[in-house]
Amino acid sequence: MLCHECQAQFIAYLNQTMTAPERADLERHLDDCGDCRARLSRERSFLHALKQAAPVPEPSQGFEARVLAAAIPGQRRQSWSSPWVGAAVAAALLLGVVLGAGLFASAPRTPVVTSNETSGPAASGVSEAPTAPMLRTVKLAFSSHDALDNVTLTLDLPKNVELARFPGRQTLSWKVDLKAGDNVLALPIRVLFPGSGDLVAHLDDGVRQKTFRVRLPDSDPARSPSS
Amino acid sequence: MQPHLRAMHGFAFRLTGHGPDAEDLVQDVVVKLYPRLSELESVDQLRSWLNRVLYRQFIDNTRKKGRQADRPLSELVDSDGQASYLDSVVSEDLAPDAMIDLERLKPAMRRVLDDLPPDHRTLLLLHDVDGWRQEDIAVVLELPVGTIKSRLHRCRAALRKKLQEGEEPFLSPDRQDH
Repeated sequence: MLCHECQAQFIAYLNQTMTAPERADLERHLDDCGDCRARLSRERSFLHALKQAAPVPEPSQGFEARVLAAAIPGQRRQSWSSPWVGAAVAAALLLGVVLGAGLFASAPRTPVVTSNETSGPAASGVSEAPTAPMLRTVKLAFSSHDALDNVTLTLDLPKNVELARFPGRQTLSWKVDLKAGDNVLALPIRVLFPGSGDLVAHLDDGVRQKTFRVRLPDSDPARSPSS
Repeated sequence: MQPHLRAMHGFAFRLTGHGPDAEDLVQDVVVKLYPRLSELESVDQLRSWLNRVLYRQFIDNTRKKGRQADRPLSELVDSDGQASYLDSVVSEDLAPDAMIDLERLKPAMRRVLDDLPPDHRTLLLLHDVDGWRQEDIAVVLELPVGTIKSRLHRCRAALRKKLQEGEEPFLSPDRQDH
C-alpha cells in the first residue's frame, strides 16, 4: 500500500467502517510508516474536533410515539406536521410586527387573548384521569407599524402549559421575518394541569428587545370535554 | 420501521439543519409508508431504503417550498458557483500536516462549518462525523461512488482551506512537527 492510498482511508479507519482485510492492510502500512502514523494522529484530532462541532441533537420527547401515532388512521389529530410549524412561523411573523421603527419608543397595542378553543383527548372508552392534558388554541392579537427581517421570537410558557408540537419545553425561539399590520396568531398549546399563568413573548432584533406578557386564563383539563 | 426512526431523524437533521423540521420530515415519510408496511418486510437494506425515501421526500418538500438554501445535495454540488469554488481548492496543499491545537480548533471548526454551503456541510458530516460509508451515501443520493468520493475530497479540502483562511496559526505549515 502506498502512502496516499493509506491516507485516503483514514476517515473510514477512524470511523471503523472498513472491512477486516482492508483494516489489516492499512495497519500493516502504518506499522512501517512513521509519516502516515503521524498524519493519522493529527487526522484523529481533526475528526474529533469536527464531531464535537456538529452533533446531532436528540429528538424531542415522545418523538417516536408521536411519529407512529401520526401514521395511524384516526389518530392524526394528535400529530403535528409541517403545516403547524408553518403556522407557528406565521404566528411569529405577526408578533414581530411590533418591532418596527419607533416601536421601542412607542407602546404597541398590548397582545390579548382573543379566543380559546378546546378539544379534549380522543375518546377511548377508558375514563380519562382527572388531569389528562388538554389541547387548546390560544389566539393572540398584535398590532404595530413597520416590518423587520431576522428577528428572534422567544416564547416562555407557564409551567402548566407546553406548545403541542414541542412537549416538555417551556421556552422556544424562532428566527422570523416581520410584516407590518394588524394580525392574529394561533398557538396550539397543551394544558398539562390546572392553573393560570403568563405567556411571555420576547422579540429581539439584535439591537432592541421587547417583551409582551399575556395572561392565560385558568384551565382545568378535568373539565374539558372528550371528543 | 420503529428501530430506524432515530437514524432517520439523524439523517433528516443533517438535511434540514433544524430539529423540528427533521422530525416533521421523518413523520412525512412514516405517514407516507404506513399503508405499505407489509411491503417493507421484503425490502433488503431497509435502512438505506428508508433513507432514500426520506431524501426524496426532502427534495419534494424543498421544491414545494422553493427554498434555495435547502437544494438537494445531488443538485447543488454541481451548480456552477459551487463547483467552481470547489475546483479552486488545491487540496494537495491542505493535507493535515500541521500541528493541531484541539482546544483552539473547536470554535474555529464550528465557525467554518457554519460558513460552508449547506450541501457541502451535509455531505461531509454524513461521512466524516456520522460514519456513513461512501457506498451508502451513493445509494441514497443515487450517484456513483466515485462521484461521492471526489466530492468528499473537495468538501474536506474546502473545510481546511477555510480554516486556513481564518489564519488559524495551528494550521500553519510552519508548525509541522516533522
